[in-house]
Amino acid sequence: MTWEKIQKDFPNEWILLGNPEWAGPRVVSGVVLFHGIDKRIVCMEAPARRTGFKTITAVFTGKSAVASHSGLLRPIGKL
Amino acid sequence: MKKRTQFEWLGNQELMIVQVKINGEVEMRMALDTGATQTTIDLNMLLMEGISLRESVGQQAVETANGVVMADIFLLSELHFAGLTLHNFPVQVIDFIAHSVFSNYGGYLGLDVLAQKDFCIHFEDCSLTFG
Repeated sequence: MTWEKIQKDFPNEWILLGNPEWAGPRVVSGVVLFHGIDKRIVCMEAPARRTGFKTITAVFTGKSAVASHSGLLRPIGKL
Repeated sequence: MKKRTQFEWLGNQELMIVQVKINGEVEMRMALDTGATQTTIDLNMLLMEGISLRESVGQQAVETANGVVMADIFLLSELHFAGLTLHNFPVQVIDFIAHSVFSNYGGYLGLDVLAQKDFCIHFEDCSLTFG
């Protein structure tokens, strides 16, 4: 299934993908093995569902709930 | 030989994201972090392999933007990035969910990986020369 179709069918969910195809750091397609809104539950399903797949990944179809700022200094809003 | 690899960077408000494979089968997006001495992986990524916290080989205190937290240390049998494969490689493991890191990547790739080779970041075409 293509990434565009996955995003359309499972908006704002974590997706467990088998044999993902990548273009650089972006997933372009893969086999949907499991999906849900809880990252932990989706990741914990992997051992039971990965049989027969060479590689697996877990990816989020939406944008991060918060901006992905990181590092020692990061914005906390306007003072 | 130098290897050129693409990263995702959506602008000044975002991190540089690369693709990494661990233990030969789990692939993930990781943030490139030249400000981190050690590579850190979200516990949830290891759970995908059925690895449990009992397999931790130690702990260490880590200073984060949210204060000091305890990280477990795990030995990855393999970490693959941009043509480089590291064996029995120690990484810090933190439960991102428990520490309120709601990110769409699986960890931070630190200087312990990047310093294995010379690297150059090219923002114009979002690529990294490594090797």
